[in-house]
Amino acid sequence: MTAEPITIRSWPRAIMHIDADAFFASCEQAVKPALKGRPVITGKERGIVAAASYEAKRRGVERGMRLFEAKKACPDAVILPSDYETYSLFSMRMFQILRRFSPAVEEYSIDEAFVDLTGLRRLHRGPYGEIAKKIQETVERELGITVSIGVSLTKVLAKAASKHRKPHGLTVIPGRDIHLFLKDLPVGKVWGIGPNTAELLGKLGVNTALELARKPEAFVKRYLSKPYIEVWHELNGRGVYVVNQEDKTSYQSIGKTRTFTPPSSDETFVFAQVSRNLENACIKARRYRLSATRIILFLKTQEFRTSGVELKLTRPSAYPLELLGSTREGFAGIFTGGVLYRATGVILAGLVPESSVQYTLFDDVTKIEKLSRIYGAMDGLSEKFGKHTISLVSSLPVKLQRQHEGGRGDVPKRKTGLFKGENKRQRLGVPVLDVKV
Amino acid sequence: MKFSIDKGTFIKVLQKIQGIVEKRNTMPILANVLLEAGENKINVMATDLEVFIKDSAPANVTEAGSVTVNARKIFEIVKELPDDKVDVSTKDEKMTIKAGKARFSIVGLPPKDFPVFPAVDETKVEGVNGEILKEMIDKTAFAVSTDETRYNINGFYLEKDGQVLRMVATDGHRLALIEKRDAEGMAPGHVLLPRKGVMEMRKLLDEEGNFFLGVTQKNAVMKNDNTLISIRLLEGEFPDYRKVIPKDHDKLVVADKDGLLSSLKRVSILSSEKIKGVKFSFSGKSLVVSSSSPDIGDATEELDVDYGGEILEIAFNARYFIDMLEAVGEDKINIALKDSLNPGVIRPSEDYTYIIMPMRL
Repeated sequence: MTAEPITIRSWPRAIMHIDADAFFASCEQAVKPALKGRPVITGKERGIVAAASYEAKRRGVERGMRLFEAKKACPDAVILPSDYETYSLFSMRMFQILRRFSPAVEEYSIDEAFVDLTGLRRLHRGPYGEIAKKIQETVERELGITVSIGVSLTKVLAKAASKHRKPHGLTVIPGRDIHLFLKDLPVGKVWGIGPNTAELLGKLGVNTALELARKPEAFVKRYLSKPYIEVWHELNGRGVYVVNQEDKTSYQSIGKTRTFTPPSSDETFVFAQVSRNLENACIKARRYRLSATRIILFLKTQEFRTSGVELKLTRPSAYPLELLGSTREGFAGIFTGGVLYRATGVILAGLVPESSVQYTLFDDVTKIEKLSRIYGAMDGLSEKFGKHTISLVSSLPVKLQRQHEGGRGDVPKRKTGLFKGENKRQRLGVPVLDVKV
Repeated sequence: MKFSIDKGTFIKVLQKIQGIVEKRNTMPILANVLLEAGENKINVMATDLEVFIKDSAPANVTEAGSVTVNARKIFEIVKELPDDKVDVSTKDEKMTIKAGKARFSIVGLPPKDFPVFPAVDETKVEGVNGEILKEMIDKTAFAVSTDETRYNINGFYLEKDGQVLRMVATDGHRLALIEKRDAEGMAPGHVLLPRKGVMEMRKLLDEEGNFFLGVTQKNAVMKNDNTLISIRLLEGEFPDYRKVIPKDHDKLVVADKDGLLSSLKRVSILSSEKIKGVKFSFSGKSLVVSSSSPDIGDATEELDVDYGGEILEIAFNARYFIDMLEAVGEDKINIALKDSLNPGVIRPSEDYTYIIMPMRL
């Protein structure tokens, strides 16, 4: 049974997934050539490993590990604060390279993309595997980072293929070979199948991706819900998910979280963090012309325990001035004196388009319209003079104290060594190499 | 306990209490019905702790007593019994139902665990006009908030103000107010009645006979000859409805009710899914209602209205208009407006006021 191919059509569609290897760490090695070949860890300011280079991974460092554990595993590791400015430049450049090869590029995350290669063989004079190889070489040559690539018939298969060999892997799975690839892939490793579903499938005797793919439709429909039925089609080489080229224009929810060091038990300071998160989330909501109907706020203690509360609004809003009162009430309910907090977060949920705002009987409409004008003006000022040019007083302590102090307060070099004419907000869009001459 | 009863009668009383029985089953006994056999009749009681309902039916009682059993199961059993004469008897908490050759035995819970029915102060209960009460509920029920977290508007505000009986409901976006002069029943004062309880009262009002209404500090009671409903009042402050009734609206429109209703139903098909926004443009003798949805298309319709003011554009949730238009019997409705930010006031008749807040244009 395992010998029988799932489909004999080799390339009804050709989807490529590209995934940068240890992206943040690779970027650091690219701009600081002295670090090439050495174990590099980023995430100093967060106190946990955000990314680890393959040299560090080989020594047992894992993503999400606490830094002191990482240091124990790999004492000679170079630990750096995250330099998101440089990472996003590398990310943009990687996507630019991909667009040279195909116009259909979906920016899936900062270091991952899907590319639809269907029909491009004649243009690039070679089979899909060759095109992918060319892309890989170009990215690695121009950016100095390594990437892993998977090419197959659907997004789910391509994603599994790129994971197959890392780093610097290239895995091509034509239709006739799908079954050979899936037979060794545990079903829980398939994109979109979580631990609970994997557990359920295990109980039903489905352990590998091939066993799932071979199940009749009736089985899948009986035990699984719609998203998994789509995954099942994708595993069988029938594309359901398209490569989505559009930028994200709509959100279900918008969340903002901030970690700070040292942890604090000062109510005013912790609330300032919440207040700033609320402002940041609202800025983003207003940018997409959305208003929230619910607010979720949470606090994380030094022991990584989280307490949270959900607030329901009587009217959709994206104006912190209006939301601050209920946020403060919610905060008072979850804040415990004497406890050290390390992070806070605010999520705006139940987002509705700003245009469909229904006025309410018991609020003053002119006041709401005034708020809308005030925030219109504030957003205008922020555009000119920088974010938070005008902000809530309750957020002020955030400005008066650095977000991170001590060793974790280190900032990336790109932030301190500015070029002439650059300022905090306006920078040249170039990564800066750190080379001793 | 031992009694025999006509199957049809038994079904009727058991059916009436089904709506009250707790479906979520937080306390097992709330899923039960309490049966009490007394002199030539049985009482059937159910509650969800918010609403208490007591019904009675004639029965041939040979031994008084009481029992509680699962309300849904006993209803299903009685419905399917093969014979019209039903014999019921109990032994401890076990109840046996016999009809023809069928025999059911179900296990119940001790009657002493059943919540105590709130005492009814007979001196406070007065006769009411059932038809008027029915109309008042029907013209306000749709405006009651369904958001359970907003408990202070999650019900009907009932007020006796001199000789005027007034009922108000709102969900924060619209408000319905109806008042009846020279109405009998209820002492001066006001109460907040929960939605579910009032809807049970409304069902009772469909029956024949005389109705009585009474309000105490914690409960409101309604009864007719056989049935008694007691509902726990909502606590909380109902918003001041007087403040939101505008008085200076100078743009007056008279529109044909049926015409407006049917065109709103048509035009709102193309409003966006969630919120049925429709734009109203008044000018001269015409009203143009229109809607558009970026993904689907747009719709527009012109109506003749009686209006002489300047051009005015305002957007409303069509659903709010439709709810009210469907509940009234008049041919013409009066609409009073001010501008696009102030509420629309609709008066189909002297005693009925409906206020809708607009949407952002």
